[in-house]
Amino acid sequence: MKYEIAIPEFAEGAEEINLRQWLVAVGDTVKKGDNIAEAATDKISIYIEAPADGVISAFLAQEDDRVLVGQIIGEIEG
Amino acid sequence: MKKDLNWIDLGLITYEDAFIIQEKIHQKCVDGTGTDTLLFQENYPVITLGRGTQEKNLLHSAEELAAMGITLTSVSRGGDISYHGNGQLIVSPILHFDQYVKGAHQYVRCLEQIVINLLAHYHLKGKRIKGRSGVWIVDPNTGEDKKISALGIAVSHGVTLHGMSINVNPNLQHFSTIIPCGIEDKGVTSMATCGCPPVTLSELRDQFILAFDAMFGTQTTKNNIDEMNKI
Repeated sequence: MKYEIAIPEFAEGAEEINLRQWLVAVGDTVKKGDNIAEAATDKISIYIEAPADGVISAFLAQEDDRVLVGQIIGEIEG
Repeated sequence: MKKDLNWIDLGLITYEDAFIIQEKIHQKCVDGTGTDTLLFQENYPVITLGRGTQEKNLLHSAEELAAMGITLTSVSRGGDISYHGNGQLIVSPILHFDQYVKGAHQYVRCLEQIVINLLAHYHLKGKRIKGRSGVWIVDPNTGEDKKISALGIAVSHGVTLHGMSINVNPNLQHFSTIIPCGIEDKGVTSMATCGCPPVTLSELRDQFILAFDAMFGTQTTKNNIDEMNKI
Protein backbone atom coordinates (compact mmCIF):
# COMPACT_ATOMS: atom_id res chain seq x y z
CA MET A 1 0.00 0.00 0.00
CA LYS A 2 1.22 3.48 -0.87
CA TYR A 3 1.31 6.24 1.75
CA GLU A 4 1.80 9.90 0.90
CA ILE A 5 4.21 12.16 2.77
CA ALA A 6 2.70 15.62 3.00
CA ILE A 7 3.80 19.01 4.32
CA PRO A 8 1.81 19.53 7.54
CA GLU A 9 0.15 22.77 8.62
CA PHE A 10 2.75 24.12 11.04
CA ALA A 11 3.16 27.82 10.48
CA GLU A 12 -0.19 29.45 9.99
CA GLY A 13 -0.24 31.80 7.04
CA ALA A 14 3.33 31.04 6.03
CA GLU A 15 3.86 31.92 2.38
CA GLU A 16 7.35 30.55 1.97
CA ILE A 17 8.10 27.02 3.11
CA ASN A 18 11.38 25.48 2.11
CA LEU A 19 12.08 21.75 2.03
CA ARG A 20 15.40 22.02 3.83
CA GLN A 21 16.52 18.45 3.87
CA TRP A 22 15.60 14.84 3.49
CA LEU A 23 16.81 12.81 6.47
CA VAL A 24 16.36 9.53 4.60
CA ALA A 25 17.10 8.19 1.12
CA VAL A 26 14.87 6.42 -1.36
CA GLY A 27 14.97 2.74 -0.42
CA ASP A 28 15.36 3.36 3.32
CA THR A 29 13.09 1.48 5.69
CA VAL A 30 11.23 3.72 8.14
CA LYS A 31 8.82 3.32 11.00
CA LYS A 32 5.71 5.41 11.56
CA GLY A 33 6.70 8.53 13.48
CA ASP A 34 10.35 8.59 12.36
CA ASN A 35 11.63 12.01 11.38
CA ILE A 36 12.21 11.78 7.62
CA ALA A 37 12.46 15.38 6.39
CA GLU A 38 12.84 18.96 7.60
CA ALA A 39 10.79 21.85 6.23
CA ALA A 40 11.10 25.44 7.35
CA THR A 41 9.92 28.99 7.16
CA ASP A 42 12.33 31.76 8.10
CA LYS A 43 11.65 31.20 11.82
CA ILE A 44 10.31 27.71 12.27
CA SER A 45 11.55 24.38 11.12
CA ILE A 46 9.55 21.22 11.54
CA TYR A 47 10.58 17.62 11.30
CA ILE A 48 8.15 15.69 9.15
CA GLU A 49 7.28 12.24 10.41
CA ALA A 50 6.75 9.06 8.43
CA PRO A 51 2.98 8.47 8.18
CA ALA A 52 3.41 4.68 8.19
CA ASP A 53 5.89 1.81 8.43
CA GLY A 54 7.47 1.00 5.08
CA VAL A 55 10.14 1.83 2.53
CA ILE A 56 10.69 5.28 1.05
CA SER A 57 9.70 4.69 -2.57
CA ALA A 58 9.86 8.16 -4.11
CA PHE A 59 10.82 11.78 -3.50
CA LEU A 60 8.37 14.13 -5.21
CA ALA A 61 10.18 17.26 -4.02
CA GLN A 62 13.87 17.97 -3.68
CA GLU A 63 15.92 19.76 -1.02
CA ASP A 64 15.61 23.57 -1.28
CA ASP A 65 12.34 23.31 -3.22
CA ARG A 66 9.64 25.79 -2.22
CA VAL A 67 6.66 23.74 -1.06
CA LEU A 68 3.12 24.34 0.13
CA VAL A 69 1.12 23.10 3.09
CA GLY A 70 -0.52 19.83 2.07
CA GLN A 71 1.86 19.26 -0.85
CA ILE A 72 2.86 15.62 -1.32
CA ILE A 73 6.65 15.48 -1.19
CA GLY A 74 7.24 11.75 -1.16
CA GLU A 75 5.80 8.28 -0.90
CA ILE A 76 6.19 5.27 1.31
CA GLU A 77 5.43 1.75 0.18
CA GLY A 78 4.11 -0.03 3.23
CA MET B 1 -3.75 26.17 38.22
CA LYS B 2 -0.52 27.28 36.60
CA LYS B 3 1.40 24.90 34.38
CA ASP B 4 4.76 23.92 35.86
CA LEU B 5 7.99 24.18 33.92
CA ASN B 6 11.61 23.58 34.86
CA TRP B 7 14.55 25.74 34.07
CA ILE B 8 18.13 24.58 33.79
CA ASP B 9 21.16 26.80 33.31
CA LEU B 10 24.13 25.00 31.73
CA GLY B 11 26.37 28.04 32.21
CA LEU B 12 29.37 28.37 29.88
CA ILE B 13 29.50 25.24 27.75
CA THR B 14 30.48 24.14 24.26
CA TYR B 15 27.76 24.19 21.62
CA GLU B 16 28.20 20.46 21.03
CA ASP B 17 27.87 19.44 24.70
CA ALA B 18 24.85 21.67 25.16
CA PHE B 19 23.17 20.23 22.08
CA ILE B 20 23.52 16.69 23.41
CA ILE B 21 21.83 17.76 26.66
CA GLN B 22 19.12 19.61 24.74
CA GLU B 23 18.35 16.49 22.72
CA LYS B 24 18.15 14.37 25.90
CA ILE B 25 15.68 16.76 27.50
CA HIS B 26 13.72 16.89 24.25
CA GLN B 27 13.51 13.11 24.11
CA LYS B 28 12.24 12.96 27.70
CA CYS B 29 9.56 15.51 26.85
CA VAL B 30 8.58 13.56 23.74
CA ASP B 31 8.28 10.23 25.55
CA GLY B 32 6.48 11.81 28.50
CA THR B 33 9.13 11.19 31.18
CA GLY B 34 10.35 14.77 31.36
CA THR B 35 8.92 18.18 32.15
CA ASP B 36 8.80 21.08 29.72
CA THR B 37 12.01 23.03 30.28
CA LEU B 38 13.63 26.37 29.66
CA LEU B 39 17.28 25.58 28.92
CA PHE B 40 19.77 28.42 29.29
CA GLN B 41 23.38 28.44 28.19
CA GLU B 42 26.32 30.56 27.13
CA ASN B 43 28.61 29.11 24.48
CA TYR B 44 32.32 29.38 23.90
CA PRO B 45 32.84 31.26 20.63
CA VAL B 46 31.62 29.04 17.80
CA ILE B 47 30.37 29.39 14.26
CA THR B 48 27.75 26.82 13.39
CA LEU B 49 27.33 25.77 9.80
CA GLY B 50 23.86 24.56 8.92
CA ARG B 51 23.29 22.25 5.98
CA GLY B 52 22.20 25.22 3.93
CA THR B 53 25.34 27.25 4.60
CA GLN B 54 26.63 29.16 1.61
CA GLU B 55 30.41 29.33 1.48
CA LYS B 56 30.41 33.06 0.77
CA ASN B 57 28.83 33.76 4.17
CA LEU B 58 31.93 32.54 6.01
CA LEU B 59 34.44 35.35 5.63
CA HIS B 60 37.52 33.79 7.25
CA SER B 61 39.44 30.53 7.09
CA ALA B 62 39.32 28.03 9.94
CA GLU B 63 42.91 28.97 10.79
CA GLU B 64 42.08 32.67 11.01
CA LEU B 65 39.06 31.90 13.18
CA ALA B 66 41.13 29.68 15.46
CA ALA B 67 43.54 32.58 15.96
CA MET B 68 40.54 34.59 17.20
CA GLY B 69 39.49 31.77 19.53
CA ILE B 70 36.49 30.77 17.41
CA THR B 71 35.79 27.17 16.49
CA LEU B 72 33.81 25.96 13.50
CA THR B 73 31.26 23.20 13.72
CA SER B 74 28.88 21.65 11.24
CA VAL B 75 25.40 21.02 12.61
CA SER B 76 22.61 18.77 11.42
CA ARG B 77 20.03 21.53 11.27
CA GLY B 78 19.08 23.20 8.02
CA GLY B 79 19.61 26.89 7.48
CA ASP B 80 22.65 29.04 7.10
CA ILE B 81 25.51 30.18 9.29
CA SER B 82 25.35 31.59 12.82
CA TYR B 83 27.67 32.70 15.61
CA HIS B 84 27.41 32.09 19.34
CA GLY B 85 29.82 33.24 22.01
CA ASN B 86 30.51 34.70 25.40
CA GLY B 87 28.19 37.48 26.51
CA GLN B 88 25.22 36.00 24.69
CA LEU B 89 22.36 34.36 26.59
CA ILE B 90 20.92 31.42 24.68
CA VAL B 91 17.44 30.26 25.67
CA SER B 92 15.98 27.04 24.35
CA PRO B 93 12.40 26.40 25.45
CA ILE B 94 11.84 22.66 25.10
CA LEU B 95 8.11 22.27 25.38
CA HIS B 96 4.82 21.07 23.96
CA PHE B 97 4.12 24.45 22.39
CA ASP B 98 0.52 23.64 21.47
CA GLN B 99 -0.31 23.46 25.19
CA TYR B 100 0.58 27.14 25.50
CA VAL B 101 -0.58 28.77 22.27
CA LYS B 102 -2.47 27.97 19.12
CA GLY B 103 0.08 27.31 16.43
CA ALA B 104 3.82 27.60 15.97
CA HIS B 105 3.61 31.06 14.43
CA GLN B 106 1.89 32.46 17.48
CA TYR B 107 4.45 30.72 19.68
CA VAL B 108 7.26 32.48 17.81
CA ARG B 109 5.47 35.83 18.11
CA CYS B 110 5.14 35.26 21.86
CA LEU B 111 8.86 34.52 22.15
CA GLU B 112 9.67 37.70 20.25
CA GLN B 113 7.33 39.65 22.50
CA ILE B 114 8.99 38.20 25.60
CA VAL B 115 12.34 39.49 24.37
CA ILE B 116 10.80 42.89 23.53
CA ASN B 117 9.30 43.04 27.05
CA LEU B 118 12.61 41.94 28.53
CA LEU B 119 14.48 44.68 26.70
CA ALA B 120 11.88 47.21 27.85
CA HIS B 121 12.71 46.22 31.44
CA TYR B 122 16.19 47.56 30.67
CA HIS B 123 14.77 50.65 28.92
CA LEU B 124 15.64 49.36 25.45
CA LYS B 125 13.09 49.52 22.65
CA GLY B 126 13.11 46.27 20.73
CA LYS B 127 10.92 45.72 17.68
CA ARG B 128 10.08 43.31 14.90
CA ILE B 129 10.93 43.93 11.25
CA LYS B 130 8.53 42.47 8.74
CA GLY B 131 10.10 39.61 6.86
CA ARG B 132 13.04 39.30 9.23
CA SER B 133 13.23 36.90 12.13
CA GLY B 134 14.35 37.89 15.62
CA VAL B 135 14.18 41.14 17.55
CA TRP B 136 15.72 44.36 16.29
CA ILE B 137 16.63 47.71 17.75
CA VAL B 138 17.78 51.06 16.49
CA ASP B 139 21.46 51.22 17.37
CA PRO B 140 21.88 54.66 18.98
CA ASN B 141 25.45 54.84 17.72
CA THR B 142 24.54 54.56 14.05
CA GLY B 143 20.78 55.12 13.86
CA GLU B 144 20.47 51.83 11.94
CA ASP B 145 18.24 48.86 12.65
CA LYS B 146 20.35 46.03 14.04
CA LYS B 147 19.55 42.58 15.32
CA ILE B 148 19.85 42.19 19.08
CA SER B 149 18.19 38.78 19.39
CA ALA B 150 18.25 35.95 16.87
CA LEU B 151 15.44 33.45 16.84
CA GLY B 152 14.86 30.08 15.30
CA ILE B 153 12.86 27.15 16.55
CA ALA B 154 12.44 23.58 15.45
CA VAL B 155 9.52 21.28 16.17
CA SER B 156 10.01 17.55 16.41
CA HIS B 157 7.22 15.21 17.56
CA GLY B 158 5.28 18.25 18.75
CA VAL B 159 8.04 19.44 21.11
CA THR B 160 10.18 22.49 20.39
CA LEU B 161 13.97 22.74 20.19
CA HIS B 162 16.33 25.70 19.89
CA GLY B 163 14.97 29.18 20.59
CA MET B 164 16.73 32.50 20.77
CA SER B 165 19.96 34.21 21.63
CA ILE B 166 20.10 37.62 23.26
CA ASN B 167 23.22 39.71 22.75
CA VAL B 168 24.10 41.11 26.15
CA ASN B 169 27.72 42.13 25.71
CA PRO B 170 29.35 39.76 23.19
CA ASN B 171 32.43 40.59 21.18
CA LEU B 172 30.65 42.09 18.18
CA GLN B 173 33.79 41.81 16.06
CA HIS B 174 33.24 38.07 16.10
CA PHE B 175 30.00 38.55 14.17
CA SER B 176 31.93 40.25 11.39
CA THR B 177 33.58 36.94 10.58
CA ILE B 178 30.33 35.79 9.00
CA ILE B 179 27.28 37.12 7.21
CA PRO B 180 24.78 36.01 9.88
CA CYS B 181 22.00 33.91 8.36
CA GLY B 182 23.10 35.23 4.97
CA ILE B 183 21.54 38.66 5.65
CA GLU B 184 24.01 41.15 4.22
CA ASP B 185 22.35 44.51 4.69
CA LYS B 186 21.70 44.51 8.45
CA GLY B 187 24.12 44.45 11.34
CA VAL B 188 24.19 42.99 14.81
CA THR B 189 24.27 44.86 18.10
CA SER B 190 24.07 44.22 21.83
CA MET B 191 22.40 45.53 24.95
CA ALA B 192 25.72 47.00 26.12
CA THR B 193 26.33 48.78 22.81
CA CYS B 194 22.83 50.26 23.02
CA GLY B 195 23.61 51.85 26.36
CA CYS B 196 22.30 49.27 28.80
CA PRO B 197 24.21 49.26 32.11
CA PRO B 198 26.10 46.00 32.79
CA VAL B 199 23.76 43.01 33.18
CA THR B 200 24.91 39.53 34.11
CA LEU B 201 23.57 36.60 32.13
CA SER B 202 22.11 35.08 35.29
CA GLU B 203 20.24 38.32 36.04
CA LEU B 204 18.91 38.40 32.48
CA ARG B 205 17.97 34.72 32.79
CA ASP B 206 15.90 35.46 35.89
CA GLN B 207 14.16 38.36 34.17
CA PHE B 208 13.52 36.18 31.13
CA ILE B 209 11.82 33.57 33.32
CA LEU B 210 9.59 36.26 34.84
CA ALA B 211 8.70 37.57 31.37
CA PHE B 212 8.06 34.02 30.13
CA ASP B 213 5.78 33.16 33.04
CA ALA B 214 3.92 36.44 32.60
CA MET B 215 3.36 35.70 28.90
CA PHE B 216 2.21 32.10 29.23
CA GLY B 217 0.77 32.04 32.76
CA THR B 218 3.26 29.37 33.78
CA GLN B 219 5.27 28.71 36.92
CA THR B 220 8.90 27.95 36.15
CA THR B 221 11.13 26.51 38.85
CA LYS B 222 14.76 25.51 38.96
CA ASN B 223 15.93 22.01 38.11
CA ASN B 224 19.43 20.79 37.50
CA ILE B 225 21.00 18.27 35.22
CA ASP B 226 21.67 15.75 38.02
CA GLU B 227 18.02 15.78 39.03
CA MET B 228 16.96 15.51 35.42
CA ASN B 229 19.16 12.48 34.88
CA LYS B 230 17.46 10.71 37.78
CA ILE B 231 14.08 10.94 36.07
